[in-house]
Amino acid sequence: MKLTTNTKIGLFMVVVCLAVYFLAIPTIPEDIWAGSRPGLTSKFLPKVITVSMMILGALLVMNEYIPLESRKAIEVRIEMTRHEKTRALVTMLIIAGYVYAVSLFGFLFPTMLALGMLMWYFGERNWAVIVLTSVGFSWVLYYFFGKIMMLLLPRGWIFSLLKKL
Amino acid sequence: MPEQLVLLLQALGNILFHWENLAAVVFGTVAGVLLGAMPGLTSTVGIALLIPFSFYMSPLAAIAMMYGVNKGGTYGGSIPAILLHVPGTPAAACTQLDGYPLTRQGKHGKALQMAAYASAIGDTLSDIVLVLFTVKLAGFALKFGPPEFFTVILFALTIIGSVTGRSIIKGVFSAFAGLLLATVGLDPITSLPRFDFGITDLSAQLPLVPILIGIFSVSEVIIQAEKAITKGKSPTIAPKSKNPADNRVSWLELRGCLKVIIRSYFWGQLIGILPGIGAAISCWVGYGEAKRTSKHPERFGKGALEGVAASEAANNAVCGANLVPLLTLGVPGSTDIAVLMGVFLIHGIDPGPRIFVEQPQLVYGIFAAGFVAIVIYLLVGLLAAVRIGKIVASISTAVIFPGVLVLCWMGSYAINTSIFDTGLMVFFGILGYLMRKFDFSLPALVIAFMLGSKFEISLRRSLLMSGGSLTIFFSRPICLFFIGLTLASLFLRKKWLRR
Repeated sequence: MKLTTNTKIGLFMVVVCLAVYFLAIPTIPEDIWAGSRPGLTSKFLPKVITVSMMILGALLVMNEYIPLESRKAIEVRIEMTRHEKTRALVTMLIIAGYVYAVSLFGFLFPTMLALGMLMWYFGERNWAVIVLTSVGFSWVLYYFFGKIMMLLLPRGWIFSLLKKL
Repeated sequence: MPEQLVLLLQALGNILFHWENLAAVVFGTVAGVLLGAMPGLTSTVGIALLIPFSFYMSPLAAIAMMYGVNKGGTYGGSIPAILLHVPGTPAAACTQLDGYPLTRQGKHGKALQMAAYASAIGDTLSDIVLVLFTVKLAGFALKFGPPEFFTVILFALTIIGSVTGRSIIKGVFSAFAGLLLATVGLDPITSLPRFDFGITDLSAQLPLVPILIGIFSVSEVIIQAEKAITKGKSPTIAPKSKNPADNRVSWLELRGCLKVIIRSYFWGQLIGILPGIGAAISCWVGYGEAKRTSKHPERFGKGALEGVAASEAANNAVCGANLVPLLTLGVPGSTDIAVLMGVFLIHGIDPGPRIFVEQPQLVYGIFAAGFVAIVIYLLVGLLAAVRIGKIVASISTAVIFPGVLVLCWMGSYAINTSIFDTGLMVFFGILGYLMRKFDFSLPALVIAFMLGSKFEISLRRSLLMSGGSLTIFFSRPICLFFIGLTLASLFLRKKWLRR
């Protein structure tokens, strides 16, 4: 059995749907109508959707052996070099790290740092542009949303803790 | 009709003589043109990024601004397509076929003017139809009960799932995934919690804004980051011809293209009303039809002014038409309009036929804003398109996309001042990226998520009405009509896309 990208995606979809069906849906509490009026419980739609998704996942796997759709049309061609994959992964990590850092250290400093890092990573090599843009843009947003629009920007729990101490 | 005209004129006054509304439309349209002209930044991303600013505006100003972004962005994509051979948006992919050869001949002024005129004419005609017919359609839709709404949404989701990607299986799967995400939170009928796993932030429905921003904007930042940017020479615009006639559209040329513009407008209007297809396909259909019916098809692709006119009239005609399903049925027709629907919901407005009864001033205000936006992007196009092209050529994406990410964070955080929401944004950003890579449909996921609650309520209310019997959907003529359309859309899909 040759595992193409679509077969792997299809199998993954089936596994996820099985997990939702057998692990997540049972956590939904039974309502008072359960059993007395079929089709009207809180679990009804999630069950229907999950089973449908499971069937679609199975169809995607089957498509490799009994073509339902043109295999050429749905063939996944990810023309990415290893370098591009690494860049995408590093960017995801920077984004996730930035969002986490804001919860720890507040808005301003992580934003400046993330902007600078991303600009450098995107190819900007002029340090004056990097520093001025990251500091300037962060301050403008901080001032506009935090001071003018009075939005309660996160201060970060580390700073809050230090202040309490 | 006279009543509609009076309402429209009042709304026009409300837009033009209230500085907040006028500033919102002007800002939105100009920002839309700039964002549309920037490759990688579509009007969908633009609307998603402006969401945090809209929290502080009145509903009319906020929606008018976003509608301006939608119109300006659709037009703006033509500027780099003509000047730099890089379409700013997928909807302008066709414009470059004849626009860029005209630029190489030194006639970019002519091409840009024709793009602006054709966009404005197509868009205006589409808006006129919107004003004239949506009220009647909405009046008809007011008679719909839960079974009719269920079949309408089913039809919309099927068509969106089946035409927005190459694979029907993956498209429909994306729509189901959106529906499943919509079930997170309280059950809309029994108020029982579902899929919250004891996490307080999941006990209400999943927040819309972080999902929209993550799926469309954060995934775009990751896509752009894939390519290492090497500093090189900025693309240059070919010098313009010294003959002044080469740099403007004469009345004769415009008149010569009118037939093409009106035919393309018709296709744009038709495609725009159908959910899920959008401007990216209408431009190809308009262009293809213009070439097929031309006396000189051999000129297309070599700098035919009709080619630019056809593509631009078709893609901008979609803007007004896209609002028809949203305002009459509460179903967004495209990703731009899905994000726009998000702005309606943020301001506590449920788009659908009742909006004409409950908030007619708002609806006519949006119509009026559409006409004002057309005038603004026409002026921008005629007066500043070359300058915008030069800015686009010189600007570094290394500065733009990190800034976009910070705006994404702000947009996701500001709606509920919740750090959890920003985490959701990251999750959906990565999910959106993977879906794009594996050819799943982002519009299907997002639109299904937005319609999920209505879908479930109408289904379960219908079943309550019928005592659990599905025959209710086969005993009402409107339901049967939409079920027929749903099946037809699945079977005709292949033939349609080939066309």
